[in-house]
Amino acid sequence: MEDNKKYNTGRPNEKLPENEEERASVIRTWSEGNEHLENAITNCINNGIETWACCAGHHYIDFPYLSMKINEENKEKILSIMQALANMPGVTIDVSFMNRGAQGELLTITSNMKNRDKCFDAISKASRNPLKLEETNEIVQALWKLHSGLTSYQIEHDAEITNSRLKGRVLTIRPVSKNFSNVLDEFMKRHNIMQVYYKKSFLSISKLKELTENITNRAKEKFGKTYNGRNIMNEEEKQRLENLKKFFDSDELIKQTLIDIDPNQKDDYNSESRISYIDRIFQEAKSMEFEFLSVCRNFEINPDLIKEKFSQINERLVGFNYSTGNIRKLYKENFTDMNAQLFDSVRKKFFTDRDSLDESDLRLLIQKSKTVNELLHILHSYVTYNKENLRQLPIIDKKEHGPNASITLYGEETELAKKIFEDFPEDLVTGNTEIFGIRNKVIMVVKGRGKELLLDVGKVENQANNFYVTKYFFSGLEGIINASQMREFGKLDENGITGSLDSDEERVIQDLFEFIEKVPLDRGLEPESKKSTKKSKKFSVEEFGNDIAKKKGENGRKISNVGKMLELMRDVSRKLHSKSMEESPKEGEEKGEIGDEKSDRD
Amino acid sequence: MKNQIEISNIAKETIEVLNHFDEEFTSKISKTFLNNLYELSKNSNIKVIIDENKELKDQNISEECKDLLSILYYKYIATEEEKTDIIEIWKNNDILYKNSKK
Repeated sequence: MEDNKKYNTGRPNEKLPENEEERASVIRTWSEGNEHLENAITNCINNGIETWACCAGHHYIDFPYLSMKINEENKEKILSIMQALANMPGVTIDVSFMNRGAQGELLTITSNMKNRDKCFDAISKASRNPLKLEETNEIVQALWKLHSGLTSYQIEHDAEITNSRLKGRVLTIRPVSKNFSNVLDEFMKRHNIMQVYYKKSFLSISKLKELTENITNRAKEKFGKTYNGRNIMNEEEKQRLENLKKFFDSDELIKQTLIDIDPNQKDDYNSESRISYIDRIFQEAKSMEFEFLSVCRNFEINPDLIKEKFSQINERLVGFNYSTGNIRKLYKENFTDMNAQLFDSVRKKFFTDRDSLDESDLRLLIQKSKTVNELLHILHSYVTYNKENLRQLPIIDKKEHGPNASITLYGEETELAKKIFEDFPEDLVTGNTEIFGIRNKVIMVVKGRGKELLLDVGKVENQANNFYVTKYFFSGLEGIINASQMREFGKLDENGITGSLDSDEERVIQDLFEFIEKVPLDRGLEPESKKSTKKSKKFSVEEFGNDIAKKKGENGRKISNVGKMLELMRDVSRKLHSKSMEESPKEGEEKGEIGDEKSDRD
Repeated sequence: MKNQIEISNIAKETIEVLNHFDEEFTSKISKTFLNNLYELSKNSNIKVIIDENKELKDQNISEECKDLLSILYYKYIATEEEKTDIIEIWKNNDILYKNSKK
């Protein structure tokens, strides 16, 4: 309708036409073709909530929203809307106040494109069902109280604020509902970004700053840190983080002990020196067993499995022939050897079947192990790459990533983990990404790349310089990777691709992101803009079958030639297989947690 | 008997041709086999060119590569009934070829 142009200027309007038919038409114009938004506006208006501004969203990455005016009469319906959306993924609720002009108090609900319709439907429904403040959840209550306090203060001190000639007197509180904990913790530090937003000028009014701090401190005391309504960093989660830290301490200690008990010529000089050596490693074995048992306690692993292993080792030590025995062989066979098949079994179990891991899997692997190194490798993989364990760590932060994914930071807010989280490129397309920071290590699980990409970033400290080793694994190849792409990665076998890359301290994060970008995107995740408009020639298997494999005539495939080719391939496969067996982990050589490559920097 | 370079060239050619197949074919091939092909192809310096304007049967692909791809087709794609037919065709083709050389 021509007349609706005056209602579609992009500026907020105060009054709707009185006539119902005209009103409906105007609402349709505002809702920009989105029926859910249209219903939301209609329901709000019919329930005494005047709307202020809205947008249906127009692009692949956009933020549709609806703003509603708050007053005493509709307050309970506003609370109901806040309650309905406080925990909806991809949705932000913010309450704002401006003392000048017609805006007053506003509730603005902003969504991502994925959840847009669901969000608007929730507004429609909630606008019909009022709620009292005490019936809402703690996020809504805290937000409302904060907003009320600040609004009252602003009204009370309006003259002072006006006379101060400060610009931009909009006071907006905008907790991203999933990360309300950050509002409480980072309130003043993060004022200039999305969590709680003040126009900077307000901070120069010390009273307002003081008031805000008091309110947030009171809210923090009452509600604690909340994330989606549940407490995080509670005692249980703190304990889990501590247990993981202790595990890494034990891991380091055991590795160092294995190095320390490496026999030298003096240990092997005569029977007497060998006896002395065996005595020493008996004691060291006890202390290593102690470390393993503490891991069992902290991660609810049956300790009998460990005790049995060490009992077997002790028996072999007892049976050692001091006169003729080879202590180096004894050391390797009981402490440091790594069986290649066991290594592959651990990788297969922990990296590919991680979702289905249970203790019987762990028990079987421990039973197969013989040396302390193998036992350590199994436990390390179980603890470090066990998603269930890792996800029970406290969540430090979470943010949206693109329209359909998120990035979550767990564990310890180490410098490296935090930097990876904050610097994660917005245009690096992935599915959900999880970052686990523990000590000087970061574990990442990146969905959407290679089906699921596991990364283990660890720091190596040596006297010359520190550097980082990033080990990786992914299983999804989505058909063939072409030969040149394969060269970018490492070893490919039935489980997937494993490898590692070294980085200097300055480049570790950049190298990490560049690597992630190289890993093939899962189908369906390619951004529209990057999809090739020109498709390369694709042959169909049917075409191949008819035109080549089953072609009749003297120019078709011949059984004698095919037979020769088959024999050739078998012969080559045998040679390659025996070559890979020769290159399997050598006795006494310690293996990394993922991948066979050992950094050769040393 | 083929030498190492010839084998590497066949492997590389096969990989590059496979890149141009639908995933209906390539996703069924054993990863270990693909890895072996890749390992073999490392020593090859040939350049494989696929003409986007030509059909598969008109591409300049070596007979050895076609043989290898046919083995893959037989092993991973063909039904049991088809396999019987394929063997018959290959046997007959052999006979026809030998007769034509007499």
